[in-house]
Amino acid sequence: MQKLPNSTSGLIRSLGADDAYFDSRAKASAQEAEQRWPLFKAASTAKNELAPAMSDQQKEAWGGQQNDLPEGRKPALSKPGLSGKLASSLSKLTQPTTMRISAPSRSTPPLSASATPRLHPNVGDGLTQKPAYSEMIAPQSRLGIFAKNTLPQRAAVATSAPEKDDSLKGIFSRIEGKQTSSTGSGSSFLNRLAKR
Amino acid sequence: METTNLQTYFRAQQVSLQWMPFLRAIAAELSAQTDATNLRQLFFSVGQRFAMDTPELLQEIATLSRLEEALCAHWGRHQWGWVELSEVGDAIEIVHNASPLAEAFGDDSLPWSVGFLEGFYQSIFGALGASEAMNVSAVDDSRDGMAIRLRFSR
Repeated sequence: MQKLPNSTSGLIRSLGADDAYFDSRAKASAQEAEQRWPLFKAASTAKNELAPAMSDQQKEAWGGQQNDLPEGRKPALSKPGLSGKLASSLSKLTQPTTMRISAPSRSTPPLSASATPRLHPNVGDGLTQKPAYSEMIAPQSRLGIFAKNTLPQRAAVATSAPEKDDSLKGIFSRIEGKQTSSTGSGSSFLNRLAKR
Repeated sequence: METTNLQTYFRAQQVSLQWMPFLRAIAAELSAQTDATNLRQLFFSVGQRFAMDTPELLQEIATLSRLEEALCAHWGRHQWGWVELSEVGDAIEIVHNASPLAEAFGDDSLPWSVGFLEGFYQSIFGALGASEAMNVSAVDDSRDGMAIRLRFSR
């Protein structure tokens, strides 16, 4: 193999691109652009000197997130990522300003725990500890298309002016009070069918 | 597409193919063994038992609209359609839509299989404080069972 003479490397170096001309043109054009359009200057890539000062509440939200974990909770296998920290802190920052829209209360308060009817005499704590089937699936997803049939009507009722007592107690008393003479109405079409 | 076609298709999906012939055979045998009045009473008791097994259904229910909502969720979970409750005159009208009773036991069995819904709703109203003098009875002549009307009254 033929050896290159020592002077060859110097020769190759001398053939290297000289970028000085292009660099000077680029800098000059950037300065020219800043003078023409001040927005370029505002959007300069130069680093900001100082970050805006944080309020005490923000500092607490950013710094105190590690203390909010419950005591009994074991550390996770992987460290929380930056996105997780951001989400957690943002949720804390926005918490005081979050608006809560509560539906207007119904005409009658819910029954107390003691008044809650229990149908089955044998239902004890053992059964109630089991996860109810109703808790496994979200009610709305289970209702599917049928939800449309009832929910809009209910919303319309809620927005209208209070008319009459919708409580079951009131309805039961009205029905029992109203209907004392029409005892013969119990016979139905299906009853008649059954007798045939 | 006609509503009848949709309804026919829907009914065919209501009952598991695994259980359909079994339920139809039971219905035929029950009809052969006893009359419709007894069968209706039998299914009334089945409905009562079905209601007793769902105590969580009536948690914190104080209004008719809230009861309707809970019942719709309950029936929806079991793919038993949905229900509409309304106070009409001197009764509570119950319209149970898309029940699989007619498909499971046959249209001819509806006059007695509807006892299931009567027993269920009567138990529910009783558990919510209604008088024992009140009862639920079917009042509709719907033969396909897609909308079974019942009345809760004295």
